[in-house]
Amino acid sequence: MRYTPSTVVDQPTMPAAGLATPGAAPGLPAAGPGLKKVNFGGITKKKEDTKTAYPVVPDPNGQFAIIAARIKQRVDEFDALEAALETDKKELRCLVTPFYFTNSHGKADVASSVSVQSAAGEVLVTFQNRYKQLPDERSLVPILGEHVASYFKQSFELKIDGDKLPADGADDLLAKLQALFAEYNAADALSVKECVKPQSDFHAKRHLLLTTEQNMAIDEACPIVAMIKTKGRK
Amino acid sequence: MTAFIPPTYPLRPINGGPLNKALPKSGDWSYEPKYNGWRTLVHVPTGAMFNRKCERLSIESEFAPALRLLRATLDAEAFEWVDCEALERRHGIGRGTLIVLDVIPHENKYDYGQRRAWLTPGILPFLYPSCRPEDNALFQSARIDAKLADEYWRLLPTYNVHFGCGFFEGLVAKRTNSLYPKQLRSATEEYHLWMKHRWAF
Repeated sequence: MRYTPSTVVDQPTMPAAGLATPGAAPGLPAAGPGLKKVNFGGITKKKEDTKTAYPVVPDPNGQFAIIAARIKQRVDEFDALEAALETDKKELRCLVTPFYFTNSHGKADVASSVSVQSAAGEVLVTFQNRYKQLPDERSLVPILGEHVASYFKQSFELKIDGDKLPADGADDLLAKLQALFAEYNAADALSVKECVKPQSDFHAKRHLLLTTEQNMAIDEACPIVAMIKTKGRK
Repeated sequence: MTAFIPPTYPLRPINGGPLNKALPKSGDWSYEPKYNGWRTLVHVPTGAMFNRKCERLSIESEFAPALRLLRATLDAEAFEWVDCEALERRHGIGRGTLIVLDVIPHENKYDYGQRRAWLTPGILPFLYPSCRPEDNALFQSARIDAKLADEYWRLLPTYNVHFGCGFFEGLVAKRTNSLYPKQLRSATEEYHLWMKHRWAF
């Protein structure tokens, strides 16, 4: 039997009772094919500690240790808070995005933010005229078809700003540049970073010319950079 | 032959710090052990393996038996790409073994609960935390109910002691309604509906 998406079964999660200790495994279902119970006789030899040893600063009063312990604790707390905050911010951004595109549709002058009211005060989700770069246009073609080039363009960097080259002569210039480096056996010294990014007027014209559904689909492929702002809002 | 790459970078969870310091999460979440291995995307029809940067994995041949099992087990038309943890080199446990973490559906409309439910445990066994995996095998990641996450957070380090290495690195929380959004923008982009909780080694 092979899996297909229609092969849906009730899948057990880990049992609530009888958490296993190694070797005993009470309460856990019998091991399936290919499983081997823990064998204490076969404990893998612990690797030697490879951590670099640095000189230890004298700390006669234990003052440094108190601060160090506090830093360690607060880094953990900070990571936890940052992750929770980031999750909420991204989720709020996802939830309000349909409203942003619906509300902006057909407008030439689009509000940069949407307001979320709460008992604790107002939060703004600000949609900036900034976009993540794409490796290529493949994800955009199904949405924009032959109009991809009207909204997006290739960009590249050869330690020179590709955006500032004249569009007409860029190919010729780059071919000569590569030939020049090759002439000096330095072709490997040239590296190029390519991407696809929106045309400069994309942010303004997407709301006028594209449907809400197209904008939502583009946002999945090329997300608009959004900020969550709380400062200065009551 | 045209080079092919995965349709997405593997989803990368947000760093949530230690679970015992984590703030409450909204919604329903499920947990999996975080295994100490190599994240890899496997192309089921060919058995090609790619690392987290979508580059071809140089040690693919070391997983040949597990890949054969995978290809014989999963329907390549339904599951063209699977997200796995590859066990090799970092410790001596389960060398050449693949742990299926998720499947990447063609259409981005199936949530985590649905995707995992496709992987029938009767055929693709769970890797239960108390069990030491054998070499060159194929498993799917254990699923831990959110109610038991704290307990496993304390329990898994004891398994590491018994295994004699850092086989588990912590837990990964996944919201049960999380999709598997495909993106080739950046290998470091994080997905906010997955969160990793690691012990500090």
